[in-house]
Amino acid sequence: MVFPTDYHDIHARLRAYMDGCLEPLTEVQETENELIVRVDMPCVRSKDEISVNLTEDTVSVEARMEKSVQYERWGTFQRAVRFFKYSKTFTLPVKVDPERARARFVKNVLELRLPKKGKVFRIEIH
Amino acid sequence: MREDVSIVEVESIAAKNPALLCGLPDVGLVGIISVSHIIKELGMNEVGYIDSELFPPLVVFHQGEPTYPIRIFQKEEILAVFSETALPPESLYPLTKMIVSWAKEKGVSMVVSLGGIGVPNRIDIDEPKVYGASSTQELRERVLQNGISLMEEGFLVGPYGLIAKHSKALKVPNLILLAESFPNYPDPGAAASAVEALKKFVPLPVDMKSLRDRSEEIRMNARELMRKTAEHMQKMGKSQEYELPLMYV
Repeated sequence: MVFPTDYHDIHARLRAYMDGCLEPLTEVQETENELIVRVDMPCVRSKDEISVNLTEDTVSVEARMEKSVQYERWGTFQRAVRFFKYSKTFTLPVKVDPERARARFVKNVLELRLPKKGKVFRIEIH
Repeated sequence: MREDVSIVEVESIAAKNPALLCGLPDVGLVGIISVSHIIKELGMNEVGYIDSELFPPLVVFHQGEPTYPIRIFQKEEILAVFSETALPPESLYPLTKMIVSWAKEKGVSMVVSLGGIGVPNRIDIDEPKVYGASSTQELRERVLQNGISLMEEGFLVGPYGLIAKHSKALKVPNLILLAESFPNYPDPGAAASAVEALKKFVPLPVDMKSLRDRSEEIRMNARELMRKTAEHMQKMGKSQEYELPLMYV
């Protein structure tokens, strides 16, 4: 049987919920030289609660919340679950150099600056 | 002719030239967070709802009772339209047209669009700046008199762009207040700036402390609405707001 995509999304989401895991909101901005990844992490108290793993083309982020969150007044399934961490792994649109990556955590937003891999050559115009 | 969108008043609305505040899903959910806060702070009464076959097939339960996701609230001379759901792009044209026509019928003094304007360096901004725009010269002058920068050129895509268009056509004064915001994250800080700017036009005894104190809770609660809204914004070409002019005359 073939299920519509949404059905699989729901299952993946429910499995993550059962692990107490929320997927953070994420955005990726591309500039000439780098990718800027921003991850929204309300309820994470400090950078010490966050771990980031980078490869040339993937980012994995995990963070522990200050206190577990429960949607007590919402839904029938959701209110039975306590969330205590964020977790997300995603593929980057271009290869980056993990060794030159920088990160900061401000206003509960994790910002990663990932220099693109590959050297840019400036050429002279004659 | 079939009406795509209908407004139902469940209580009679008697107000003299009220201001209509719009909290519709857009950048940073600034309008929704702002208007939700104003509704709570003023203790506004639910007086109606908006429905359409074009809206997502859902109902919202509050205290066990099913309610419409787009509802209308009133307190004295303030009306507010507030959406709890992301709105598909195809529903926006008839929805905004109906809102502005209804506002004209009610004799509103102005339709206020509270929203966000996405900025990439929001992470470094402590007090988001607010930009104003309007369909009338008088309100544009008040924007400047109130120390708010006027949005003079540019695109505005989405529900507030359409409200501006319909307001111009129907000659309804429309004030647009856009606070610098995270583009794709719920932004209570931007909402606080938008409400502070609104208070210069509409007297609102609204305390901002609780909005700031509940910032993280709001960001947690509005995550899924933001996710859906971001998908819709992408479909409607929201990125055009950040492009250079197609033609500059």
